[in-house]
Amino acid sequence: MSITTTENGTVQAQRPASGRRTNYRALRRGLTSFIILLVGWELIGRFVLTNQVFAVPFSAVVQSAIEMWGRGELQTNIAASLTAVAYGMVLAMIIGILIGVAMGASTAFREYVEPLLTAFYATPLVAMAPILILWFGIGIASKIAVVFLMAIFPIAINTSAGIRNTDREYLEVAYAFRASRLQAVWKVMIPAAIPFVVTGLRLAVGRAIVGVVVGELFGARAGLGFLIFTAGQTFDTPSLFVGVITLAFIGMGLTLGIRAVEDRISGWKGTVQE
Amino acid sequence: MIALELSHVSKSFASRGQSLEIMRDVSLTVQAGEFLVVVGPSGCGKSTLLRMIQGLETLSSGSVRVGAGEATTRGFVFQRDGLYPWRSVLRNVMLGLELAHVPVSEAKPRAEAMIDLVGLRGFEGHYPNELSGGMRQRVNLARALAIDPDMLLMDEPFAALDALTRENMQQELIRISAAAGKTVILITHQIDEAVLLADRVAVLGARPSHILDIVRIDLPRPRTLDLKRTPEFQAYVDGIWTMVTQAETETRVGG
Ligand SMILES: Nc1ncnc2c1ncn2[C@@H]1O[C@H](COP(=O)(O)OP(=O)(O)OP(=O)(O)O)[C@@H](O)[C@H]1O
Ligand SMILES: [Mg+2]
Repeated sequence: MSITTTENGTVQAQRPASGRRTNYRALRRGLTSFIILLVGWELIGRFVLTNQVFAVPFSAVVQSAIEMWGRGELQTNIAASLTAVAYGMVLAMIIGILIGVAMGASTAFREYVEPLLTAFYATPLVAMAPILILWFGIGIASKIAVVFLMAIFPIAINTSAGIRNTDREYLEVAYAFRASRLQAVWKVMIPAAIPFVVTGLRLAVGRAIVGVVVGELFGARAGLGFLIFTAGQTFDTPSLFVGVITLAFIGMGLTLGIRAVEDRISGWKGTVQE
Repeated sequence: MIALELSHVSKSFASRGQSLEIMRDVSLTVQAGEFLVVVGPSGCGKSTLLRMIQGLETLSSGSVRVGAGEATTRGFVFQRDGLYPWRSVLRNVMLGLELAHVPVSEAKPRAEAMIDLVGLRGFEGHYPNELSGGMRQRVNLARALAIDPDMLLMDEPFAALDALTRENMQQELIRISAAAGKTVILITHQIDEAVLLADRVAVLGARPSHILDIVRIDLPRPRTLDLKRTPEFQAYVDGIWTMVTQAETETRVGG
């Protein structure tokens, strides 16, 4: 990072020029891989695996997507899945951050709950989807529950790590200015933990998408998982791929969005735990 | 009136299973409104002493009494600035006022005045990672001044500044401490800075440190930079310099 002063006298931070060039190069190489993949897929779909149930060329998938968009079917299913992800993520954020802050601020609380959280984090909780559907019924409630369960653990664990990793120096400054314990948590620990929380959110979003799809596979009347499930049942391979690719785009979009936020605040703190 | 009284202060740190004795039997009295400068070799425990006064570090034995106890407000200037990267310059300077529940309508103009004082007008909205080391150090200073403390505890406040800014800041500090009758305890490695600012200079010796000498600086006030060219000034500098270098050699020999 270097500091430059612009004409109107404001100081701005800039990335080094070589960094930017590397970014373009990386982007170009990444796109090349995608293009090779899609061309290869098209060729194999057309000339090698010609059975339309096992594989379809990429162009058939695009065509199917256009048709589904025209019927409004794609939008409805995207909206259904995203709604469940949004509700589940918001709930997981509120409760996860609360738990994380409490864990960071109270050693006793952390020692009680951390082993549980770590165990749950490592458990493939998507396997709980069928029972959650039994509990909450077929519909959005059970999907929200799956998303919530998938998302809450990385958020809570990262928040707690962020709070505990608060620079001792920052706390000393606060105490030198006679901060109360509560002020230290509120004005120092929580802001200092934000980069960790954002990383937690990024990890959570990927899991949330897996959660919503699995929830929809087991029982739902709408959503991209439901779309994939019905396509599979009716051997409609192009539609199946439309569902999968749409999910990939959503997941990539959300992750990149959070990454951008992380990059912006990375000046705050050098390293963020994964 | 006594602003600060250290009696028989000793300090040891537990480090790698061993007890490291930093300071042995330091006693010192500072009058209200007095300007005390502490010099001594690197690592002898100056920062630790200041942190003990502020209550950031425990004492191994002895006692520290601050004039009116917690009622004496203290502005602390950290050796490493300790600015919050998530706060703008203005909000960093407002920190102490905010923690004391001073309403924003009152805190903001006060903070702005201090930012102006340290020559950072126009940088209120900037973030610490957009500032140079010297600029950060001045924010650190403004943050301590903003609470208008009875006592200023300053750990090498001007170390990162260029010569010109340093001299400006010294002049400001002389003015502020004289006008407001603040008690100041300042650590520095610059002996001419010590002589220019101090009513008394406490010279700390090598570890475990103790007070080698307290030199009263009988130079007229208000002091200006011209004073530095006088033989009296130079005599004080030479005397203290000799003591500090001697202590520094001891530190090296003593490991
Ligand atoms: N938390 C700690 N644990 C163990 N040892 C410490 C700790 N803090 C300081 N020390 C040791 O105490 C000694 C004094 O440190 P201090 O920072 O007070 O020195 P100083 O006189 O301010 O030095 P400088 O002039 O370089 O700033 C050093 O030897 C340091 O290693
Ligand atoms: Mg020091």
